[in-house]
Amino acid sequence: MATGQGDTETEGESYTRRWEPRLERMKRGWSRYTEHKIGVVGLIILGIYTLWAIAPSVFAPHSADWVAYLGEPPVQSRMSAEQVRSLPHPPAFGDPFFAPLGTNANGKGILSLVIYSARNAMYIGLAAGLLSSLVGVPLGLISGFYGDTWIDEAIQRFVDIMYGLPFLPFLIVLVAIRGITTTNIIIGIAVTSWLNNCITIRGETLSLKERSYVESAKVAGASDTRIIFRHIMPNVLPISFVFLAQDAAGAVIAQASLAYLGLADFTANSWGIMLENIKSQGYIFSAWWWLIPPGVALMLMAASFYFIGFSMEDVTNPQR
Amino acid sequence: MSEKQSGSSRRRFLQGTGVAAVSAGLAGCSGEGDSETETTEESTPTEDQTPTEVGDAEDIPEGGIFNFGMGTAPNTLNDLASSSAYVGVITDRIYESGAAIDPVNFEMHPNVFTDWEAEVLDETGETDQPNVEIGFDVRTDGLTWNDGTEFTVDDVIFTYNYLLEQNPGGFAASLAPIESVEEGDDRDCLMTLNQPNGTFAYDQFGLPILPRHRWEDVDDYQTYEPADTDFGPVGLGPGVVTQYNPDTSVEVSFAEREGEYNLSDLDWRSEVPGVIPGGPFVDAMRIRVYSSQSALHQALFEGDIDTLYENIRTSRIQDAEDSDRLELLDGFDTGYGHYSFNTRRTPLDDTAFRQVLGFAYDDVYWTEQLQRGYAQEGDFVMPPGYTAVRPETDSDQEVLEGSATQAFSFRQTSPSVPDVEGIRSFLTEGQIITGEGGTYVGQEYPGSLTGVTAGQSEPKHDYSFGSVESDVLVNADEEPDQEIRIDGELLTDVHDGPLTMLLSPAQEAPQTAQMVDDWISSLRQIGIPVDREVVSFNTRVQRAYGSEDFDMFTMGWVNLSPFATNTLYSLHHSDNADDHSVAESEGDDDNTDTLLNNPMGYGVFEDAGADDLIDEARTTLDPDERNQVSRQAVERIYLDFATMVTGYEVTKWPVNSADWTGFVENIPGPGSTYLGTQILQVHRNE
Amino acid sequence: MTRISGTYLAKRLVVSYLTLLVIMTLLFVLLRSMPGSFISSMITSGMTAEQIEQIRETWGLNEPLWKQYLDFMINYQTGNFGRSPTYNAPVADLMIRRMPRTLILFGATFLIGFIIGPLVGMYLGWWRGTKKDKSIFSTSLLLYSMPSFWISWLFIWVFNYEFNLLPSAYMFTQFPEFQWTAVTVMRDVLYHIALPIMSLTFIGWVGAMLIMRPTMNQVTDEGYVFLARAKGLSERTVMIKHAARNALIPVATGAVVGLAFLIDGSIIIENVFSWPGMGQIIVSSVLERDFPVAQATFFLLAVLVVIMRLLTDIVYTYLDPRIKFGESE
Repeated sequence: MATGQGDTETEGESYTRRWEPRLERMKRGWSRYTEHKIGVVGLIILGIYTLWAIAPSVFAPHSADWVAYLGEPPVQSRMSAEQVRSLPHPPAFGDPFFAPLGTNANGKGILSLVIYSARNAMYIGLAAGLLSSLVGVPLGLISGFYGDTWIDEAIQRFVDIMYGLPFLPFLIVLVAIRGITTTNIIIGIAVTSWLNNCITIRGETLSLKERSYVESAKVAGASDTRIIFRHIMPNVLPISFVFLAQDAAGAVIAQASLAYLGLADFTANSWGIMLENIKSQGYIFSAWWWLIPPGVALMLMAASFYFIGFSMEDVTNPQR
Repeated sequence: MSEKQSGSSRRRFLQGTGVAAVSAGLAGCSGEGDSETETTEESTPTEDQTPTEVGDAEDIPEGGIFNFGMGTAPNTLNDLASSSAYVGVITDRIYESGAAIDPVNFEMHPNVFTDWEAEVLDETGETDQPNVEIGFDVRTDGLTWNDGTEFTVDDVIFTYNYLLEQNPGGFAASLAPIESVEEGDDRDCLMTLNQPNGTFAYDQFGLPILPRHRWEDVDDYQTYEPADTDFGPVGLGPGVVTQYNPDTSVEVSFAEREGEYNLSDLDWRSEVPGVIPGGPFVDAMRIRVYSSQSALHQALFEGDIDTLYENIRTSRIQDAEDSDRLELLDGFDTGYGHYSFNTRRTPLDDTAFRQVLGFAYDDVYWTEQLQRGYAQEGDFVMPPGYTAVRPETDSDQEVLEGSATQAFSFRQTSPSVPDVEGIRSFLTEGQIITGEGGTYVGQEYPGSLTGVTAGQSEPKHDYSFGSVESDVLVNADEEPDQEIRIDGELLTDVHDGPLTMLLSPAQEAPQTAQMVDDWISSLRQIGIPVDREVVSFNTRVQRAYGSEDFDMFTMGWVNLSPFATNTLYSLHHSDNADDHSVAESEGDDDNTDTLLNNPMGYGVFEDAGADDLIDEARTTLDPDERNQVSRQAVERIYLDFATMVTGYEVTKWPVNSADWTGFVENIPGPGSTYLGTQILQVHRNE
Repeated sequence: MTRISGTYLAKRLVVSYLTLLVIMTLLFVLLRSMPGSFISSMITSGMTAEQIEQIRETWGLNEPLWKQYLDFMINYQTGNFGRSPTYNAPVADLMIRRMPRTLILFGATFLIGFIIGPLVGMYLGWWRGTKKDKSIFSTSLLLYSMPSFWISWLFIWVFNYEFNLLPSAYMFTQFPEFQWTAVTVMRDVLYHIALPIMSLTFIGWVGAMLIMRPTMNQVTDEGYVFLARAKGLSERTVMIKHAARNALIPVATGAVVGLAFLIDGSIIIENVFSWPGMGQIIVSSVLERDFPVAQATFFLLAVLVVIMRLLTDIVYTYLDPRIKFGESE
């Protein structure tokens, strides 16, 4: 076991000593992870979304500014009244234009919008997930390490209070206070979703700190910070990744719910906004090609995060 | 577009609307007291808008239950405490007022009051203007309260005094000029006003008459809830509330009213084309409340409701046209949509600059694409239905189409592409549209219709274009090649940041949001740094109308008075604007957080205002002359361009014509403002 | 049975109460830091300064903030929720009218979700790693990933719009032709609640399943399960009678998580289905700055959550023989 004595060793030795077992563990973890089909499926889906997010123009038939009948900007003409009335247009393959998933009421291609929106969802999911880990993990660590002291008590009471505030309404108020921007939505989601994270990490820390190597580090005179971050944190990180994935999924869904309630930045290309638009413009029951794809895209994004999260949980589950 | 403010004291605001804007009526004294002759005669509608009644009127079958739907819940049955349009759907069936307006000719007619006469007194009150005494008679024969109680003159006197004492906010403007109301000698009652008001029949006689036996013991009108009383709200109207579940459903019964209702039999009703006397013919009106527009429209198509409040949404017009059961009734707007500019701030203080904002507004994109042809392009602050006060009247130009109404239309090089170079040179060459004929940015303008000119004769600032420096434009997708300089300085330096446009969250008005985006994009292409800020309706009302803390904002008005003077005074006179230039030096006393209807500050400064014309219109006795001056004021407001009228709605009111008939079409607000008329005459289709 | 001592209970009660006080304070601060004020909707053009002053007075806005805070804390604890400016009615009446409707929706969904969820979780946990487990588990995760409003729209589309089998709005038939009796009321509510409950539980049961599945899997390794098997009991009996019973404990505590989900879900669902409950007004009251109503709805939801936490804590202590709180032995 690596202990605080590592300080006196040379850089290279210390590196190998510290990282070799971890790499080994990671390899083992990976092979256990791939045992789970859904985990692999989740990674594949997320991979596709990542590609969409990085280079949407490669995958989308048109740019997000493309308009049916008129084409790509700069647009130098107008639609005729008849053309306007044909919108939202059902899927068309070349005649009168190419839009494999049809268009919305403004003539934007649904498929292109779905692909261009991946970036927004990805960003919100990962940013909110990371942010909530950044709050939840350290607080959980501190709370667990100082278990049964006033620090722990204070943090746990705070968590209790936060649990008392219903999530979505609280989010609505936060967004109402700070204004409707993507950043504020992310902050709002993070502020309300770190709780589970914190509690689990605390429990894990509580049990870890009883382990012998932590005890021996203490005896060797290592500082609290060092013990927490050097000895305990690496061991709880895998679990926190599980929560990161789950929080990311929750964030993607929460953002859609906010969009449904009209509390999302509508200038962004996002699946939630696409659904909000079909509602506010009144085509829910008359344009299935507009209703289904954003919902499915959302569902798959959230599901891929869950798939990855639950597969990782298995890997990190000490009992198996 | 549910985002409208209401411009009349008797009418209310719609969902999402934070303010019932009321106009303090202060117009010329009517020559004669008789209501039939004092009204605007020119306001007969144009030919294609002649009101027609759907179906024929003979042998009207009675009975049946008319189902009505709306997307917002009524929150009370207290007519005084609420200014919600959705409460009005119920309470307008319960309460009656002294005089009634007809939706076709916009004339005031006797209702609870039989006739009246006004006399200008020598004495002046606290105001500089002469007091006016109005004597009127009250119809007591054959009128009973809907609970069967006898109606007396005493109730009328009680009503006015009670209202004066309580002064409910929604009626404040109509109540303000009233000095007293008491029993008269020759006439039943005498009302004294502290100033002349040519439209008192619309303003002061438009207040609801309250039953003394109900309201006498109500100490605070705000906390009274008629729904909690054993009978519900009591009024002189045709209906009684027989079921009240505000969250879901309300029933107003006409059959269960105690005592006869005769006000619909008055002679004038048979003389107005399209109006059927003798109603209501249905037994009851059942109102269902839905929590969303989708659910509301679905209910309409499934036959759960026979019609809905106000308007069908554009996306379902085609479905309604395809339906055998539904028919769409045409109507026109009672107001306008607008972008308004804060004339206190540079460069918005310059008419020439404001006019450029109009050149960049692509009205075809708005009317044809976003509104799918269900909107008319905007020009004047009076909707096209109110022809008597539109500047085109008495000219050879067509309403809405004439070239004098196109002074600020979109300037384009090819369809939908703004004429960047042309607009820039309009600014750099120091041009301005003053009302003189000429060619401006490549378009002919014949000169003003009424002969008025704008307040400014030349631009206030010196405009030039240079390299792009402000953050907004540097980062803009539009990538303009040049940026504007005002008197040699960057706009962002002169103005302390880019111009900011306030608008609603997209779900409240998705089309408006897209239109604003398009407009901002055009302005940025020209090189004007503009940004947008999304704020909720209530916040926007507060920012614009309350604290005047804005550059530009978008909103709309509905239910404006067909007698222009009220509206012009209320929305465009400096009396209804805060002058912030005074505030900074002399303390905040002159500025209030009160919601004033002229947030532009139009008329506060010398170089843009129509105060003189509006004042003249208000004190002109002859209706013809009054309308003529009003038309001049309307055109002056147009040229000064402190508010840009972006469009008028084309109303499509869906009704179940398979089962019902008797509706009146081609009137303003057929399913909202004049819903009362429809309910009085709807009957079963045989 | 005596594992829960009086002192423990008292301590928990006090802590819950203090938590509630802090939540209330937080509420007060949060709601007042929102831009805009609800009286802006009551001020109309032409009102005099005195009138506006009077409105401020009526709604207590002229008091110093600490006084408003004190009034708020005291009034709320004495059940005085004030008056709503937008509904022109005492907030308490509004809550009494709407709370039961939300609770019916809550209760029914909760019940169904917490029957289906643990049952499926038990099954999957028991057969963990099998093909059945994998396919059902991944499908349920897909369901869990659906936005609730979107699935509601799909249900409305199929069951209402296309086939007109079930109503898509309200809790009762409006203006019914039939007489209201106990039977018709029941039937009518069931008829109307069907779609909202379907939409909510379609997603909601997964939450309980996710808790049940791993714990069920854990108990399969416990000694008493081996023992039961060794006794020759059928697999089914072992699974249900011995394993599931113990695995249910964490599910009981997980009810709090379920409750949080329900609150979020009901806000969306009530809006989609015109269900006139609390969820519908919580959003509108925040957006319209109707502070009395927003405060009261938040407060009641917080009370609900705090009570539920207290109860689950007690149930947990009661059920799990390994945990002992506050009992010195």
